[in-house]
Amino acid sequence: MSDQVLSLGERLKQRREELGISQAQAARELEVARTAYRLWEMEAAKPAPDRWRLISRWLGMSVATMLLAEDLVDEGEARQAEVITGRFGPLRWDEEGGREGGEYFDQERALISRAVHEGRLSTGESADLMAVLERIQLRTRQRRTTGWRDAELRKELPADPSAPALARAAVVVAAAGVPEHLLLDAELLTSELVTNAIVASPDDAEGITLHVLVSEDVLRLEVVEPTVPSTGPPAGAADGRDLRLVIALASRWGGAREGDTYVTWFELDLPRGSSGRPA
Amino acid sequence: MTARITAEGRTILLEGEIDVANAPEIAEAIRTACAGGVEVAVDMGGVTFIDSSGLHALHRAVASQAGARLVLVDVPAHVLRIMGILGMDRLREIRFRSRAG
Repeated sequence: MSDQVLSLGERLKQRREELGISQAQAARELEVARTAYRLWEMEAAKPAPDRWRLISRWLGMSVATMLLAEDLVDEGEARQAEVITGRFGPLRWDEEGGREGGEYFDQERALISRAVHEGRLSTGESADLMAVLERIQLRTRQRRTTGWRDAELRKELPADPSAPALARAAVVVAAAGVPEHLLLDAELLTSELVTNAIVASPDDAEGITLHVLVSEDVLRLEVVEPTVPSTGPPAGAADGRDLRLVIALASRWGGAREGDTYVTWFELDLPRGSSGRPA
Repeated sequence: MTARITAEGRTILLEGEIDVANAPEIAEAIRTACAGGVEVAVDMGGVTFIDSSGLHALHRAVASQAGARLVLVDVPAHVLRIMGILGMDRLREIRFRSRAG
């Protein structure tokens, strides 16, 4: 598999495994919360530009190469930029940029201006780099405002203790881009419902089905069990059937028999106004 | 992503995701460390996820050893919030500490 095919999350994981460190340790090295780092690895969230230099250095690549994996530049733009900046020496351009003031884009503009002033870049090259930078900044802004995408996912899970982890991973990926605290709540609620379903199911049960729906203003998750339990899930029991977290964190939740299945579900309201999604 | 448990005397290091799949194993490690009613430190710095199954397992384990106490170190903020909802931040047998230094 060539480098070009790997996502940023996969690259981070690869590097972390090379270094033999945990996610928490990687988060410390990249100066982010461990929850943020974990979501990056799962491709459920993207690092902000103020982390790009640190991350690309940690990965041993230029920012341009990293942005290519992130689809924030296309191959032509990346090549164009590297032809110019590569003259400064391997990764030197990024190193110099890091010493300028302000956030990532300010730093790049300052470096380009300074390099022209010092005769290290022609005005033509400066114009090319500025144009690419503009496009990266625009795409970054667009990505921030469009947030998450509509998603629908159905997944079969085994009726055993491995199900909650599989379900969590599926939900986090489906809801990629949702604000972090809501993503973490969705992950937790998923784990609670799926745990309840497998704990309540008989030993010889067939699997359960997960159904995730992400729309502009709500995340809905349903857990469908093929058999109907003889009693409903009791709240407050200390054996995996505790509903207190569901009650506290979900916008709405419920459980009902539907034909020969039993469906438990929760909904989380998503911040519609701030997502700024186009109609 | 399974959890890793490292036990060294009275300190337990937990890493990874903790849920119904590995809660029994973790409960066992804590029960063993707490035997005799001692105080055990549980470093949660590497925990990336824990749900009510994991938290109940921690509590049941320490509660099963008379006189034992857990000191949870470096608990992530959102986990503290969950423990608050479950009333686990007001127990005599569970204390909290941030990472030293």
